[in-house]
Amino acid sequence: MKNTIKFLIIALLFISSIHFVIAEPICEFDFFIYKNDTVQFHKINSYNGVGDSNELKQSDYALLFLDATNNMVDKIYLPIIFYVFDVPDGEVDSIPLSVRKPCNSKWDTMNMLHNNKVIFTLNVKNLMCNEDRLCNSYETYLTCPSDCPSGSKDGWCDRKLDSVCDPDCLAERDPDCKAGVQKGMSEKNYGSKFNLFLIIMVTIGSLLIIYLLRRRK
Amino acid sequence: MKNLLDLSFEMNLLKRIKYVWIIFMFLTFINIVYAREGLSFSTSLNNPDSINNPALYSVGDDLVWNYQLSNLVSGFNTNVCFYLKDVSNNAIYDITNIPILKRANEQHCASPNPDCPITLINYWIGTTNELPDRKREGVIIRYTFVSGDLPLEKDYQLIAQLRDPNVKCSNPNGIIPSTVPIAESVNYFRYIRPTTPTQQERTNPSLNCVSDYSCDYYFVFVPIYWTNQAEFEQKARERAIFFQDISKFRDRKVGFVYVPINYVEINCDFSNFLSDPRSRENHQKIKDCADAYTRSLGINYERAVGFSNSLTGGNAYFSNKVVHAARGGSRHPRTIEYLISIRRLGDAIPLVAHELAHTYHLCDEYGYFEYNMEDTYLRSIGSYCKDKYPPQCLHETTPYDGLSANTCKGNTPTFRDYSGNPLLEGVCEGDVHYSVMGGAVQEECGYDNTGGYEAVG
Repeated sequence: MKNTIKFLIIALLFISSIHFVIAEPICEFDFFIYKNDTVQFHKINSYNGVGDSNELKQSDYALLFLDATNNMVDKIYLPIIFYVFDVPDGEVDSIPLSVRKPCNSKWDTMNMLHNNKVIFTLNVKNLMCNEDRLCNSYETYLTCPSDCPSGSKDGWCDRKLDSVCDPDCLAERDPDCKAGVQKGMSEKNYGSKFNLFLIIMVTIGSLLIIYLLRRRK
Repeated sequence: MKNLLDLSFEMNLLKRIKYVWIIFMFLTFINIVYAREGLSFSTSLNNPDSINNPALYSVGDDLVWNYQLSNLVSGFNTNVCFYLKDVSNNAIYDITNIPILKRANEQHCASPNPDCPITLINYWIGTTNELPDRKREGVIIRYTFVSGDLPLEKDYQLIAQLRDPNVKCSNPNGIIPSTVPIAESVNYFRYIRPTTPTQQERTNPSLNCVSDYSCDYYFVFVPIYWTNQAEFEQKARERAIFFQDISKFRDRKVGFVYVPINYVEINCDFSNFLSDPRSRENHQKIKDCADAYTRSLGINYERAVGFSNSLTGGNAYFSNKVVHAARGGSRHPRTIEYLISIRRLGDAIPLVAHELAHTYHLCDEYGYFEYNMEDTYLRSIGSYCKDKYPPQCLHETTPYDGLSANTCKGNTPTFRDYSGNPLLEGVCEGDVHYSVMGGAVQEECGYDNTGGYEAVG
């Protein structure tokens, strides 16, 4: 019996690890970088995918992800080369840069460093999941399910079988849309769903308290 | 008694033989009558012709069949009409009343004439190679599907009919004439969305991964300055096929996604793109467009190609997720004049493979100056050019000016020559084949065997 349980636990852990390796929410940050250390943030793109397996081990440029207490959570060396292939005199003054990393809810601030000097700062938490129950900015179901439940209009077609036709999906890309399910969840009906959840929880809590009080008596 | 029985048995046997003989003669007669009109078809495809189990086709696929005409019928091209019928909602084959969806034989005409309008069918019939098949004493017709304009996931039936040379084939939306011989069904097929499986994927259903989002890698082609979806997809698919076949992606579950032109018109901004296709803003626009489209599909992609209908060559940034590749032109244009005057005009299929390889840290092999500079840059971030510079070209140390005749053609031999299907024109020509990273023209056939092949994929 013990062996069976042991085997099951190992199998479960193995399956879980496979799941994490195959697909996880990835956050991709797009910038324009200039030789004079000017940095222009462009956007955050999140999707289900696999992290970058070819991360650099060294570079003059790096991204630091810090948590709310300014402790480093992640670090990425950046492949910044001011050069364009296949054009005359390929050297350029600025380049587009895309950096991806598995999303992390601990991220609060992102700093870009050049030769260990901070040249750019971004409040990642605010942009990716500020937990205000509104699905906006760069929040998506992948990065911030508390603000953007499945089916929210967040730019990401989640293709989840949840009886909600995701408004972000192209025609028939969401199996729920094929089944003729009604349009996706808006902020408004998200709010009403949250309220319903609150009412149910309060009711259950009240009943529990009443039950416990009666039992004491 | 026994003798009588034997006699009766022999009589019955004679009668049976007589009947069999009469039936045989009758069938022979019928055969002669119809053989006189002599139209018989056989497809070269290993697929069932059943309407319930049609073969699957998409853009880039060849529909090949053989037809035979007897000696009594002269002229292959003008005596057979081909029609395409939509049978997705009507499985009953009613020979007397077949609404014609499209006439399919315009491409047979060598020159425009009243029966062969200049306007070609822009639905599904593309280039046609009509080759005599001496062994079969018939004709092989090869049609290549070129358009994504057919309604998706529909079943069709290809119908052929002999005709009087003085009578025109029926027009679209007309009725197939109920003349003798009657029209003959060539085969049934299902046209499937061109953004989905490649031929390789379909022959191996486990690789048919785009439709159920199970691909391990997606490559996105974003149309820039294309007006015809069919043409865009055909050209992009050629490049995709070539790239996949020469790289390690050949053995992986790869899906190629072709963004619809009408999606780009609404959601992406490529105005003024060609004024500076190399600019950071334009490369970012390619990425923004690919991001938006794949997000609406719920997938991520390995690389995106901004594929422009121009002759402006290509360009790529280090470690980027997107590249720009034009339909043709130089890989390393110095001037537009150079493009027009020196390098071949028209399609350059390996261009996409060349630009994509840069994003996997392969460097240019057409000049040592370029290679050396790129290698130096890569070493500054702890990497290096994954391909070695061709040793026979080490003397070419001056910057390539775009006009030099002694461009380094690149590493040879390649790790694996392109051998995919369909066999593409303009690649792998000549006896010596070179890496796509060099300066060879039409002799490029793969990635090099000095590390380049290993790096891509």
